This record gives sequence, structure tokens and C-alpha cells, in this order.
Amino acid sequence: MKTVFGFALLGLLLFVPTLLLLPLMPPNGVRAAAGWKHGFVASANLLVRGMSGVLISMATIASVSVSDLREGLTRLPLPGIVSAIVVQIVHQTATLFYETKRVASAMAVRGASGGGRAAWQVLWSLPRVWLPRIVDRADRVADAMELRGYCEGEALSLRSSRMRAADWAALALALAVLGLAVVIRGRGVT
Amino acid sequence: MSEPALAFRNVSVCYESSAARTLSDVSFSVAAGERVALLGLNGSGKTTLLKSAVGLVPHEGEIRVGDTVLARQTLPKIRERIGFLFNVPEDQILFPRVADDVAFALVRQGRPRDEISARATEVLHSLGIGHLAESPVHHLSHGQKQRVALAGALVAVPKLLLLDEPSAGLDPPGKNVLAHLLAGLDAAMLIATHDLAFATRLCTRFIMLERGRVAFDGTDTAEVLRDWE
Repeated sequence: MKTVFGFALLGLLLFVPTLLLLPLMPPNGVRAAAGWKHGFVASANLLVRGMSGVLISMATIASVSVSDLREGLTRLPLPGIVSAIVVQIVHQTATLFYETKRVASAMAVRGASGGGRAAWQVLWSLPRVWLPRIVDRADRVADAMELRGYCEGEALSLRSSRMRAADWAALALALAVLGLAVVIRGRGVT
Repeated sequence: MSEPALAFRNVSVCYESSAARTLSDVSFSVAAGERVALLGLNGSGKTTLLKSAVGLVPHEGEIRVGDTVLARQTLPKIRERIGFLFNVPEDQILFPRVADDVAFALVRQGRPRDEISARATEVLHSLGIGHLAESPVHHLSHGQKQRVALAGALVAVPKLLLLDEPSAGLDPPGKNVLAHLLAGLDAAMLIATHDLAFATRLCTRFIMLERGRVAFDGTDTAEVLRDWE
């Protein structure tokens, strides 16, 4: 919830320039007469749609674990190797994220996060230290994937895949929203 | 006489990036059920030797696992018989949830879900990490990841275990649990380690590598200790 709220705030901040600048842009087209008011409505429209996109994406990311993602992907009619690789990319991205945090901690502890010459020295050497590390790790992970037969077959979670009440409710809500969207698109909004 | 679990005959390994041989004319065998420690300084070729046994590095000479000679065609069969622990446990953990990662070898074999779940739980409990089954891997400590990786290697009850620094990063109680657990298994083991106390407690034979060659192969613990120091 905190993450979603944080991203909502960030999204709002990102849209502020649009909100402020659009009314100042010279109006054109058939609604030129609407002027400032039209500009505001247009930018507010952008804000609402954009923010909805951001919130839906964030809520999805926050509520779907990587295990669920893997489960979902492996059940899709995709080649097994594709879903296996996609899941591994997501999993290893998380590993890299935590490694980045460790590097940042090391930089802080060794006095390279306070700015100045030391910080530049470390930043300059970081790609030469870190990239080979990532490449080495990629090699080792590839070895492990090969050895464990990761890409050879389906690998589904052990957890039960039966639908729970919450899943049915979410599915019903999604279908209702979809239906509503189709109706609104068909009839138009006055 | 039964086939050795693992046999190296005049095996050499030379990486493309290096002119020197990482392993040079290495010959030894590990009998079924035997626990052998592979000792040596950093860079002596221990990890390369373990990797060559599962075909991760190209080699010259002959490597046999049971009655099967290691070759491109026999790789899948050989790898199914071996439990392998890498020296960086994070690298071999391929799933975000502990239970999924541990169960993977059994899922690949197509075992029934109930059996997989029961076996994974059993292995996790035997390593003292049963409570971590549902945990995300990224939240674990190094020692816990080490045990998760080991659980993944043990879950399919392999006939041969190749372990690269299994005790690294474990606290003393963790090492005790591990030594006790490994000692109770029937599998043959080749354990690359710097932890001599762990090795002498668990293994009955010691192979010492020096610059890619076998410098010592015997059962005399005193001699190993003298050479090591």
C-alpha cells in the first residue's frame, strides 16, 4: 500500500508540469474558443488517465509475487523456454537490485557517498568493477540453469492452483469493468 | 567389484582464456558411498575439477560417473545422478520462493505433487530451515541461502554429491547439522573445501590439489594436516 501510494505521489509530481503548462499553450482546432478552460480540462484528462495507468500497474506489481508471475506465464500457451527466461530475468533483476543496494551501502561505508573527489573516483571505477561482476554472475547462473535443467521442461509451483473466493471476486470485478468500458465506448458519454 | 561413483582418468582442463592448464593429468576415483575431501589452495583447480565432472568445462581424458562415460550425449543422464552445490549459493537458486527452488529437481522428474511437497518439506526440515519454505529467497542470509541450495541438491537423493565449499558461511551449529546430515547419507561425496575441521570430521579420504595436479591422495589425516600447514 505504501509503495502504491508513493508511486501515486511520484506520478502526480510528474504530471504537474503538464498540468501547469498546457493552459499556457496556444489553443487550436475547433475548441479554440474554450481557451484556458479547455486547456485545464485536457491536462486534467491526461492526469487522470495517466495516473490510472500508473496506479493499476503499481497495484498489479505490488499484488503479484514473482512466483505467481511464473505460475501465470508457465500456464500461458507460450513456448516453455520463453516463460522460463522471462521469469529468470525478473528473478535476476531482483538479485541485481539487492546487489546494487549492497554496492551503495559499501560506497556509503567507505565514504564515497558524500560527494567530492572520492565519490567521483568510485563512480568512475564502478562500471569496470561491477560490470565484469555481473557478467561473471551471468555465466555462473547460466551454468546452474544448464546443470539443473531449468529450461528443459515445465516448472510449476507446488502451491495449489485452485481458484479461491478472492480470485473469483477479482475476476468478476475485472469482467464488470471491462463490460462497463465496452458500454461506455459504444454509447459515448454525454 | 562395483563401479566407482566417479572416476577421473588422465583428465586435463585448459580454459580458452589461459594458456596454462587448470587441471593437468588428474586421475582418481571415488567409490560408491565414499566421502572424499578435495583440498587445495585458492586457484588450485578444485572448482574446475567439480565443474568438469558435470560437463560444465571441456576436458581431455576420461570422466566416468558410475558406468557412464561423460560425453555430450550422456550429459542429461549423468546430471540427473549428481547433486551439485556451487560455491556461491545465490547463483544456483533459480526460483524466488524457497519451496519452489528446493522442489525443482523433483518437478522435472514429473513426480506427483504430494510426494514432491512432502519430500521438499522433509529436506528443508532436515537442514533446519523448514520454517523458510514460503520465504522469498532475497530475504535470506548467506547461510540460509547456502542451506536452500544444498536442499535443492539433496532433494532428489542423488547417488553422487559434488559440493563446493558446503560449510562456507555457516555458523558452528549449522556446520554441525550439515556434517551430521551428510554423514547420514548413502551417496558418494566429493567435497571441495578449505575447512579442514569439517573435512576431517566428515571424510575418510583426502585429495590435495596443487596447481591443477594431485599432490596427495590418502587417508592419513596427520599427513594432510602437516601438508596443509
